Amino acid sequence: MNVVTRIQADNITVDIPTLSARARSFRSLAVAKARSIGGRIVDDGLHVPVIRALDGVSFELKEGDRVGLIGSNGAGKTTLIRVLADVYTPTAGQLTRHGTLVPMFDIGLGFDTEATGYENILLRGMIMGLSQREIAARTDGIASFSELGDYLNLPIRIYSAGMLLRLMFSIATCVSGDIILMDEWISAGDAAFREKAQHRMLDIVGSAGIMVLAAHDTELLIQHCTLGMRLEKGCLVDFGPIGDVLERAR
Amino acid sequence: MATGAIAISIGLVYGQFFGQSVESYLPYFTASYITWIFISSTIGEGSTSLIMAGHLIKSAHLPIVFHVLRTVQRNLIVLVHNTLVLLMVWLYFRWEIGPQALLTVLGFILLYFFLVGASMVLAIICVRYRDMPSFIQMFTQFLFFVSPVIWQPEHLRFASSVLALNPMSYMLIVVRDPILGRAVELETWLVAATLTLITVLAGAAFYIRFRDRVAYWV
Repeated sequence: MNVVTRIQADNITVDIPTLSARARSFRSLAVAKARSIGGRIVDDGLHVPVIRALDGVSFELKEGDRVGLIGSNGAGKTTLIRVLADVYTPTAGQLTRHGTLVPMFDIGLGFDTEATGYENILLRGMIMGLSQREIAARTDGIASFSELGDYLNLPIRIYSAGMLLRLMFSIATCVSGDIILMDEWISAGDAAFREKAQHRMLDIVGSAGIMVLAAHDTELLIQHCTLGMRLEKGCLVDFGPIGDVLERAR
Repeated sequence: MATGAIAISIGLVYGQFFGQSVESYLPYFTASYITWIFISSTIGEGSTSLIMAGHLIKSAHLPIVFHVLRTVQRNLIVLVHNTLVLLMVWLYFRWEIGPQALLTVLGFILLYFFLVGASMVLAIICVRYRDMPSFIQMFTQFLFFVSPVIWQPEHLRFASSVLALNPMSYMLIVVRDPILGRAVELETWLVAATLTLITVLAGAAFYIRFRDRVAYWV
């Protein structure tokens, strides 16, 4: 059972509806339907405009590819990451993916501020799709890596911002897999922890088959990526070795 | 605690208002009330469960039914706590509980699946149409008054038509009546089971049809 990690995207298009307040209202819809016998209303506010966030994006990634995703704000980087993570189902096109997925974006979501550190490890682990047993097996590792000690028995609302980041980072990086998806490089903590975190990230990225990283930091991209992918207004405009892509993006 | 206080005080006052003895009315109201709280809060929170989980839906690939079930489960835990109030009332009045009280479990299983299905449908509608939650809340309040929670069906002259038109009353009765030692007619069971089946199928249909769209609506 050794499937080669692979991602293939064929003509992926994503339309995101921009629902106005009126389009989100059932009452408006009902009133508009009831009115349909009368005169025609030119703009009833119910028409839902869509943003084409990704427009016919095709590419193929193989084992060993480290892809840096670049493009200005709103170019579609996050949308593409979400499509790769199965959050958005493409409006059109086909995505084929072989390999286990490790989404490493929005790592701070799903925490309960009233719950203790340990309870949040369980909660966040389940959101990441781990079973209770898998989480239990990793809890000690997370606790020791975060160096939070007895604080893990206390509600996380009393944690400092740095402590909370340590916990989030430790939980997010307790898994490894074939496909790493990152919206900005993740890191946390003070100087000493930062170094340890960096080591762990390199380990995870090193053992993964494919990494897709959306980022703006040129140095970071050159350091960690082999390939570059540039999006512009939802279209894939450039794809090739990272150095060349960054050069052309200038 | 709050549920207990409300159940007992309203039980004492309304019992007299309806001209009934405390030992028959108080258990009735307590059982009705905690079941109703479970129904109404599950419907209320269930319908907004996807809106509340918006950030998570956009960042983690979880089946959306997870968010709905999480809400139903939380309300189930509250219900278990509230059952203690009924237990205390029983310890005081000691009405007869026979083996037929076990039918409450069956009734509860029906109600549980009914609420999962209903929450699924409502959650998807509410995530698309954001003015629906307040409408649902209002409607649930209305259902409270037309369901046999405070009043007993025996005391209404036209009770049968009110009951027949209100689906929630069937779901309430199959859970509550067995444990109070009241007989439940076969017809009520059949209606409750049919309602559950329809609701679960509707929930499944909504889930399959719209699960890929929800991430775009939150």
